[in-house]
Amino acid sequence: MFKRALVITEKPSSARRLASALDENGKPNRGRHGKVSFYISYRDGMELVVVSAVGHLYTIVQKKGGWTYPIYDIKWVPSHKADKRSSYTKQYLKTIIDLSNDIDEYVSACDYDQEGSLIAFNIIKHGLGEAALGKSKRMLFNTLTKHELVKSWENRQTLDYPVIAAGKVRHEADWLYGINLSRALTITAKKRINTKKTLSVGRVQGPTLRFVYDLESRINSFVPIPYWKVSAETIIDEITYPLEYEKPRLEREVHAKTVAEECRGKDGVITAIEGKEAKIQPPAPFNLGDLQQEAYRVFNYNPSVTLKIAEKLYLSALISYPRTSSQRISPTIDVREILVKLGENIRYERDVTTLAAKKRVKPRQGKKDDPAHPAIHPTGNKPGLLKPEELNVYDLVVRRFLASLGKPLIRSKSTVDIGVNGHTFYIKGDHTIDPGWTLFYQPYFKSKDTPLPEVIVGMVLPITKLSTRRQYSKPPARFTASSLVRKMEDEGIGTKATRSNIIDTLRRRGYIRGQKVTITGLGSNVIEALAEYSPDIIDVNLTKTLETELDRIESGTGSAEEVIKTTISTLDAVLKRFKEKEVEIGASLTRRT
Amino acid sequence: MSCKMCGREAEKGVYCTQHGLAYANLEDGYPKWRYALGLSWVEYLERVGKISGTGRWVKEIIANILS
Repeated sequence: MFKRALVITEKPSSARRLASALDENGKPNRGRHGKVSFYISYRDGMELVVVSAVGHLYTIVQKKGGWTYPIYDIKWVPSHKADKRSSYTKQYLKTIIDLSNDIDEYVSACDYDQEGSLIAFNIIKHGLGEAALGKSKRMLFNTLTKHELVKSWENRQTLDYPVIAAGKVRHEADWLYGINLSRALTITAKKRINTKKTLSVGRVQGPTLRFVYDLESRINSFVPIPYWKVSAETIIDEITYPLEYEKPRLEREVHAKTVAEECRGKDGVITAIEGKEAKIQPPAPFNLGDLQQEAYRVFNYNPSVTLKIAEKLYLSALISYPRTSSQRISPTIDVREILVKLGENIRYERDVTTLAAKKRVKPRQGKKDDPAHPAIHPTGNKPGLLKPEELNVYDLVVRRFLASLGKPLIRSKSTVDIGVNGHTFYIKGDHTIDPGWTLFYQPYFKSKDTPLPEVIVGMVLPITKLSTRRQYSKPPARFTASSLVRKMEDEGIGTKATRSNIIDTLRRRGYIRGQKVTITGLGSNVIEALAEYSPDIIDVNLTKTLETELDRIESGTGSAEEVIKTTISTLDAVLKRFKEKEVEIGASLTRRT
Repeated sequence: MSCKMCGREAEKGVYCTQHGLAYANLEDGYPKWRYALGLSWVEYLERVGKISGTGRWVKEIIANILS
């Protein structure tokens, strides 16, 4: 009689891949339970029933009370019971429960992060019973390649309770903030005007909207300051070269005109020639934020689109787990093996041959690390037919990985100083000496060589086209979705997995709009009302502190109960103030803009 | 007291926080413009009001002062 294990994955596509990888013959039996597929694999004398969730199958609801605030009494229930939109999850939960008879071991094989750990934990605890937790194990993996899945199966561990606790507290704290503040805002606004609109704000949404608001305030209150640029040209061997004046900006028009008058009609004399080499190290492999930013720069993809594509590539075992903060490839990853496999793809064959010939193939390591995951890298598996946007992101990941293995780029930068009647102008040039890593990062890296002419000190040059130009200082640039994700990352709010979704939510709520992100009147009203009556909610420090506490819980040094207690006491103070100032807040929220 | 530009509550004087910030920037900018071009306050306002990069709140204040 076989021992039996129930293996739970996060998504249907990973169940099929995992079952194939773990089955000793690579051919698991596929079964159907209603509309849901499951797989039977055999390994090490065990029968593995591989079944999938479809993201979270459990969610939080209030225990009692109506549509009011404050609400602090909450419980976890099956998602399909809480929200009609989640009715599709019912059949997945039923399948897992129905297949859980006569099981000797339960295995969580969801994504290796807080969400993944919590998804499986909730299913086992609430769906299969507390006793099942005692027989549960965790598989940890960064890629869905056969090799890594088998290794992860062989080394399955006890459930990662600190990670589960951090995930649970994150959900509960976010629910408490989101529901209570959104209800407080909506109820307050509705007392003022008759509207069906629901206002919302969350723990991370608030400070993110505040970034946009603050930038918009700087733009709206910006006063340009004039300055002048002096420029000229010279001709050497019948080629025209632009000249830069020694001071890039002059603050007075009269100064600019004086320079022009003193130099007009005069010749210049070369007084110095300086050259230096600049070494530009290869880029580190991508973390999620870097990938989102680069995909936006190169393909104009919204960060949430890039995340979706990257997740699909991960589920196809083409790249490693994308929701990572790391810019480092750990020494346990066999870079040469990945190169060999990538070399079988004609697209990368030539570059791989060049890199593989090196004695040492070590990726450039970035500063940011992630204890659970390495930087995003290709697995080496050959892609099948990909959609154009999937191929774009895949190629970007591969080329960045290859570039991280390259030599430094070496550029020569030169400056020629030209004296003109007591003033100095420059001709600046630069060119590539060794393209290094940029060879592997084509077509995503572009540089323009501006070579300098053959000149010597003492050479006399004509000064032509001398001119002065008035310019104005510019207001700060608006955020794009990509730079807003970067700002959130720099400020330490949200998670690598949620940042782009939070921006999408702000858009859906009608708080922000446009490719160059601008705040709407409604968004401004929400921020101004909160800034006046509960500034903590939009203060980046509140959410930053919570993130630090969640990290402490995940590392086993923080207390989940304390964090929830603090969340409730913080909220309680805010909500009491809301109740007291409903009239004023309502007026502020519904102000015409 | 209400801000004379937008009706929000005026923090200090006649402007709300937002228009107050814009007015403060307008005052801070004047010495730089006077140094650069030797303009009077009114000439300065007229020039700044026509530049595309000037902020919306600043333009509202200029229009109000010059009207």
